[in-house]
Amino acid sequence: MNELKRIVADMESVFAESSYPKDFLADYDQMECLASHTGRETFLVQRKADGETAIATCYDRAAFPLCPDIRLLRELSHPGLPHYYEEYRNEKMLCVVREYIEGEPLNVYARDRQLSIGDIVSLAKRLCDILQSLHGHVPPVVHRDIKPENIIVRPSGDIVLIDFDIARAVKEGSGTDTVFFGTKGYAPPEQYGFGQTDSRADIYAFGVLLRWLVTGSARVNGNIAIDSDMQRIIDRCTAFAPEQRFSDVGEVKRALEGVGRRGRRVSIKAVLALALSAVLLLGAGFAVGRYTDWLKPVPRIAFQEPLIELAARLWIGRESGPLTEEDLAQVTQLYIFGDQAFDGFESFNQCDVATSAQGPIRTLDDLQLLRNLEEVHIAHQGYVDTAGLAGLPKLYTVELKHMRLSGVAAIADVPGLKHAVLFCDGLSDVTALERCPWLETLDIGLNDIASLNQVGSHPNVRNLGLMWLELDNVDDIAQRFPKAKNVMLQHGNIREMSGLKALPNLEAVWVLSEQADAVSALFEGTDVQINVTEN
Amino acid sequence: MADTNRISTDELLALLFKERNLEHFLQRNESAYLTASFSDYLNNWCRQHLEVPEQVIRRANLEKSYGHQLFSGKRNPSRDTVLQLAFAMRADLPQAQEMLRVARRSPLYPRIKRDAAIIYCLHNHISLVDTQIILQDLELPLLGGREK
Repeated sequence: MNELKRIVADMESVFAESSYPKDFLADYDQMECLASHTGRETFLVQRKADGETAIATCYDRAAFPLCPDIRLLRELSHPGLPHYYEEYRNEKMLCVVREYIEGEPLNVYARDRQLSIGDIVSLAKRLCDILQSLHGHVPPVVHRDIKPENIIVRPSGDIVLIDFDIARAVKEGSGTDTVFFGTKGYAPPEQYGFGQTDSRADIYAFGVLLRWLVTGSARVNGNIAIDSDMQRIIDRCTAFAPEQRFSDVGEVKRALEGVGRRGRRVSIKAVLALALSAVLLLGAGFAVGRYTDWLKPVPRIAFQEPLIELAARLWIGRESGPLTEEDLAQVTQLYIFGDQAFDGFESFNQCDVATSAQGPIRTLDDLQLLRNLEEVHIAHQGYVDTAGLAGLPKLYTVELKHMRLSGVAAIADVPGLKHAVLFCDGLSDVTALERCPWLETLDIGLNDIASLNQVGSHPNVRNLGLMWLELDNVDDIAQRFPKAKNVMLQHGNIREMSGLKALPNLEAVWVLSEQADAVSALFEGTDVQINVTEN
Repeated sequence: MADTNRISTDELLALLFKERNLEHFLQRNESAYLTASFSDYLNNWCRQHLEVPEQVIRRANLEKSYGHQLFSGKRNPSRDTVLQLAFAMRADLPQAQEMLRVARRSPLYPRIKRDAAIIYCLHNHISLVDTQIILQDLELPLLGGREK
């Protein structure tokens, strides 16, 4: 028995130093750790007074500077949202305790059941109601992490939206967002840094969730037929540009009212069977010579790069058959990563250089066929001749990364260029981009740039990416980028950073945790926000 | 209590706390276990160790019919039940974590005082009864003391 007493005494002495707030441990027993991420742990807890089960999320205040706003959480009141009970804090940690919701997370619930389109629509409409209450709050609250794991289906079938770690109130007039949080695949483009996320960020994630519910995959999968009304809703929810999405969830809910009356979930097997029977019928047709008219030569629009042609076809949903001028006029966006083409930013953005094969594209001349092109996103190629970009009248976003570019002269000849993401392109001089008066975003990370002289002066750039650059100093950055609001410095090494302080409009910088101390010291006493990211 | 390979509480916990990336403890490889059911796991263990379910159920201090329902797969165990069975099966920490994974329950997490005590007891093969005494002395909920 003495042995047991010794163990108890040892244990008490080890846990006397616990970093959790003492009053939290006095009120609650921690029963299980449900999730642990850097600086944040979620526990199932039991209130000592009455045995009630609850959920506590504890934040290491040093590692997780953006703790949720408990006052905001308490103000939110809806049957589809958990109640927030109390918070405990000490100098190291903040623990927020909320209601425990009995039920299954949607990822488990949907996996174990075959949901009909009617079930999905009804679930989605209930989620719309919850989001409406968040977005209708004053100020509006954006959840920013809508995904199946964060939706609990109660035994009654009602749903509850949980995990407000990264929810935030939208500040009117604020240009850009704080820092990337959220879940890859469900987070919209603007949540990756540039641009303020508003309620349309939730609409994007809602669209991805709908796709996941209908097809079983958050990614676009052209092999699964979806109810056409549902497809339209998903496409509009997940448009790259926020202004092309539904403007509010009320509108989404109204659109959902029309779905499901005629559509049904179609399995990939059924689609393949249908395709096979079509081929057999067609073969029979050929045998009797009925369809041979199709074989007459038609004037063909010739692409030099098959992958660019495929990306164009994916964008307009015409994967086969001859392309007409009218078809080409409909192509406004292109997405290619390595040797694969995609039909939207979301799938493109999920790709990784480490896991995809380098692509075959050598020239962008084909883009001259696509006169209405607005956005080009191409990554992970070899040496690429960019001449084909010059003069495209509607192009405003050029994202070319992880390749070797012939230069930026042709990019500088894009008259309406607003966003240039030229990350890891072997560039040593981008001063030609001074010709682009509308340039707002310039990302030149991981290039052969050792001085701002190689970058030039860009009076309208708001968002500046200098990741992975080694610079001696940034002494004249304020003269070169007088309007810069957001500067990304992750992985970089600027030996003399004091020039950053002179940026008159600087609002936020992004750094890695190992850079955080030096940068925080530099901006001590200012309003500049230091965002610490993991990569 | 077994006395072999014993390391002190502080040594064990210091080791655990030194583990910079606590996520290791929470890593789940769900796909690997999707097909293995907890009842299969229990029955396989009994076959390998030449034991009958009754012995395990008794040592785990579980109610008899509930225990048999776990072995037949009619019921899914709570996290505490999995841990009681781990003690009954003389599991060490990795085996207990594996049992929790198969049962799709949260793994033991050393920053939680109750879990740390359980980890220590499993590691040192302290009996379920003595583990309950330790939990009681630490004023922590006993294993099986509550049902979620």
